[in-house]
This record gives sequence, structure tokens and C-alpha cells, in this order.
Amino acid sequence: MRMSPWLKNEYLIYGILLVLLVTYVILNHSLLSVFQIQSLITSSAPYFLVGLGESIVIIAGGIDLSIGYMVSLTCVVVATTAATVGVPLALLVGAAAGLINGLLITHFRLSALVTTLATGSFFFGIALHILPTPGGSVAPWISTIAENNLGPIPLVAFVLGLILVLTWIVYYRTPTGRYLFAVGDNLEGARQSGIDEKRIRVGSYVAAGLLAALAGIFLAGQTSSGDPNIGTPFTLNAIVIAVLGGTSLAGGVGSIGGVVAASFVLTVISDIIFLTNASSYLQYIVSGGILVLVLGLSQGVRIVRSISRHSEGRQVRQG
Amino acid sequence: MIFRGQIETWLWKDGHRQVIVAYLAAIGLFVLGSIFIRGFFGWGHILAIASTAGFVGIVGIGQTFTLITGGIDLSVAYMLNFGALLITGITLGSNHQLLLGAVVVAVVAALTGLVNGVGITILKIPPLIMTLSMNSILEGAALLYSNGTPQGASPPLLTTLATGAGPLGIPWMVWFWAVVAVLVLLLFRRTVFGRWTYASGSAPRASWLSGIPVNRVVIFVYVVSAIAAALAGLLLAGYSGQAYFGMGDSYQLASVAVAVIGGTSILGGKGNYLGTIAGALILTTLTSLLEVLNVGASMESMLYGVVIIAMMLVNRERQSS
Repeated sequence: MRMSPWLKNEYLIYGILLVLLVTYVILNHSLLSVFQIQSLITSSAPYFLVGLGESIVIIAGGIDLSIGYMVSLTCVVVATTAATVGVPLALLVGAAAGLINGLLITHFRLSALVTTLATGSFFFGIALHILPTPGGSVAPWISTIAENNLGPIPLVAFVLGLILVLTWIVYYRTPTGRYLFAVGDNLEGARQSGIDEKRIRVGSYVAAGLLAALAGIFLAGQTSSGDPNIGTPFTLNAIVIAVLGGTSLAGGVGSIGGVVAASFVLTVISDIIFLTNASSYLQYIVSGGILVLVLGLSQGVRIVRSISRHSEGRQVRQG
Repeated sequence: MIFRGQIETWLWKDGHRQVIVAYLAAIGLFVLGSIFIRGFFGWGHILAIASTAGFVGIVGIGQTFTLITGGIDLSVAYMLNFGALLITGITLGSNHQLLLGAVVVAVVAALTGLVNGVGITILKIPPLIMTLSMNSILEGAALLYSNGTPQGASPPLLTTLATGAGPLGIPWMVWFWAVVAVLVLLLFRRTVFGRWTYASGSAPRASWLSGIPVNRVVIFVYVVSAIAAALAGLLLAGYSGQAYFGMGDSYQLASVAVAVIGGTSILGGKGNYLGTIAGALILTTLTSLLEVLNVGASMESMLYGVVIIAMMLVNRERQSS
């Protein structure tokens, strides 16, 4: 899996975000209001959480197709347990789910793709078993954090900010962060230089589980209920955000800013679809089309370039 | 004597052994059910299992061969669903438009497979991302086509094919699956194209260097996969009498499961549709055991996950020993 040259750094996604924001402002006939910025942050929160989790796993050289179902499972757990234990229990469930993924993939050396596809089905089954249809109840303070503002700033922005700072510190100021990128870049090399690669890789899946749990808790708070199907679209969206945000599918490359921008991009697109009164079903086509389009176009450009280089070379030789 | 020797060599080839083990497991599971559950044993139940297994068995055609080429097709869920929605929407429950509907579905499926294949080979998009994205695109297309509410009903002919009894008291579905299976086995085990498929999966670069049109082979395999999923969609619409959203969801993982149970390697290059058939029979027998125990859809979803992990662990042991 070679890296697409357009995604080698996250500048592309900043460009896309800028263009989309300008489009949004033009369609909206006015500049962004405080309320719109607030709702932009709140709506992109779950996208950001799952996207960051997927990005960490992909940086370490893996892939996680169970993220959406971990969101569903933890959302259902929060909505069906007592107010006091709901959140810690959901986080524990998320971490445990990630641990299962990590152990199966690293210690039993199973394919990450098929393993997480299978565990995803398992987690979905548990979620369905706990709560077959949407319902349950959520502690009011969770809904408060998910929906209310402190002054002009949404409360959830503080949580996201804390996660951003923590991730930045781990990525760039701790050995664990350096090992994470090293393991993804060159697994064998990292192993030979004495890095406990299994611990790092298992850790990446646990981090994804924890972030998925936060997304599940957030969604439960936002809707004040549990829904076993709420996480299904998040698996694809998590991969889309991670890769659009500059995370290399080959591992070892990824940034935090790109993930933030990419999760805004998905939210702004759905806002634009809403604003233009286009069918909300288009959202599925956008989610599916955007990554294919970007990856496909960049490869297409590479093919065209190599063809034109060939013909140039021929002309030079003839001359 | 030479003949007997040939059989022995055939039996002990690695891939064939896995297929035989899968069939023995299917029989063993059925015997186990018959011992412990009253009314499980019976010719009628065997036929019912074979008939139900046909749906996932047909989706499994695509999954087996995309896995053999080293890829995966995660767009089968909504290819199946879109196929079912198109056929009920076009025919509106009458046999007159069935041919037209089938042609439309076939064209849509072939184009979908073509886009998947071109994206994966020429545009170098990883199969996982290409097909998972395609699944979302097809879901959007299906929602746009039906505007969120499925129209029409399945033509009676499809319902007969999916649920009716055919010659010798054997369901039409079993006959149909058998014919499709023979065609698939002939294509992939007895033609040059079949050998190319296996070669492309086990050693893509070496295959390309020795003149095999690897890209065209992979593209064709994704076209076959999309058509197989859409075909299962038509049959499932016939079975339910209508189409509904989410009808393909459980086939996503089930199709991977039946291929893996039947000995198809997720690393590519190895696999046999004969094994996938056994895998479909095993998974359907397991599901029917669970149904008797009345545990519901949630257990089914958990079961698929556990079965795939278990099979991967078993195959891993075999590779290392």
C-alpha cells in the first residue's frame, strides 16, 4: 500500500476544509454565527473521537473495522446501567474490547482486517443482546456535557481539547509516541531495536477502544438514549477521517491536526447537504465516494505524469 | 491401481484435506443436533438447511475468489440489498418484467464490480477501502432509488425458485445452487482463467511477469462477486416476498465466514468453492441449532464473529505445525 502523494501531509485536508467552509458561508448568505460554530464542534465530536482512534491504530500498522460496533456497544452500556457506574463501565468495556482485538492480532498473529471484522460482529451481537431496540435512559449530567455550553464554548470542546493535548504529548513528548510511529514504520526494525512492539500495538487497539467508548458515551448523552445501531456508519467514517487526515495506510505516518480537519470536513459536508435541501441519503454516497475519489485521483495523476514523462523521454532521445 | 493412487494423492493434498474436514464437520454438527434436539433429524430438515445455505453459499462465491486474489469484498451487503430493491421495484410483483429486471440488476452489478476492480487494480486503492466505500455508495444509491421505502413485491417465479419444491422433492433453490456451484467449480478449477486466479493471488508479481493479465483477472473476480451478491439478493427477495433495508447486512460477515470455514486463506492464493459450500452448510446448521435454542439475532451475530476467529486460530496452528 503506497502512500498517495496528495495525502503525504495533511495540507490537502486543510485546503478541502477551507473550500468547504467558504462554500458553506456562500450558501448560508452570511458568515458563521457563534451558534453554527458551536454546532459544528458538537456534531464533529464523535467523528473526531473515532477518527483519532482509527488513526492511532493505522499509525501502528493495523486497521480496526470494529470501531463502529464498539461505539454501539458502549452507547448501549451507558444507557442501560445505573447513572453512577455507566461511564466508567463503558470506558472499561471499550478498553476490554480493544484489548481483545489487540491480543488476537499481535499475540495470535491473526489478520487485523478479518479479526476486527469478526470481533465487530461479536460486539454488535452483545449490544443487540443488551438492548434489542433503541431505548434506555442516560444520566442527565452526560447529556449536559454533550449539549450545553460554558459561555460561548461547548462543554464537549473542553473534553476534546484535553484529548488533543494528551495525544499531542504522547505522540511528540514520550517514548511511547516515538515507539508508536517506529512500530508502524518498520515493525521488524522496531522489534530488533528492543521496542516491545506487541505492547505498543495492543496499546493502539486499547486506545481506539477507549476513544470509541467516549464517542459512544457522547452519542448516548446527545440522544439521551441507547441505540445498538448508532455506531454502524462510524467504522467507514473513522477510516475516511484517518486517511483523509493524512494517516498513511502503510503505517508510521499520521497527524492530529489532519484528523481534526477531516472530522470537520465530514460535518461541513453534511451541513451543506442539509442547507441545499439535497436528499440526506447523499451523505452515504459522500462518505463512500470521498476517499475513493481522493485516492483514485491522486493515483490517476501519477499514471498520467508517468505516461507524459515517458513520451518526453522518447522525444529527447529522438532529438 | 493407478486410479486408487490418484485418489490418495487427491485426498492428501492440503487444500482438499481441509475441504473434507469441513464436510465431516458439517455432518458431525448435524448428527450432534439430531442426538440432542428432538425433531432435528429428518430428510425435510436436511433439505431445508441445504436450501437456506444456498443464499450465503451464493454470496460466498464472490468472497471465496476475492479472498483467493488476496482481496476482500465488503460491498456484498448493499449489492445484495440493492439487487433485491431493484427487482421488486421494477417487476412490482409480476413475472412479465422479470427478464427486464434481471438484466437491469445484472448490468448494475457488473458495473459495480467493474468499478471495484478498476479502483483496486489500476487506481491501487486497497480492497478494504474500495469495497467498504462502495458499500456505503450502494446504500446511498438504494435509499435514493427507493426514497427510503421499498416498493413492489417479488415476482412469483422468484418466490417459487427460492421456496418451492422441485423435481425429486428437492427444493428448486438446492437445484439452482447446485447448477451455479458446478459452473463456478468448472470456471475456477478447469479453465486457464481459474489457474490465473490462483496464481494472481499467491504470487501477483511473478504472475504478471509470466504474462498473466493479473489486473483483468482481479477485475473479473470483483465483477463475479457483485453479480453473485445481486443474484442472492434476487433469491432473498423471492424468499421474503419483498425487499427491505438491512436484508444484506448479516451476509457481509457470513460470506467471509463460510469461505474461511471452508479453508480459503485470508492471505490469498488458497481456497476452493467446494469448501465454501461445506462452510455454508456448517454455518446454516449452527444457526438452525441456535434457532431451536431460541436465542435470537444477537447470538447469530456473535456466533459469526466467534466462528471466524476460531477458524483463523485453527488454521494458524495448522500452518505452524
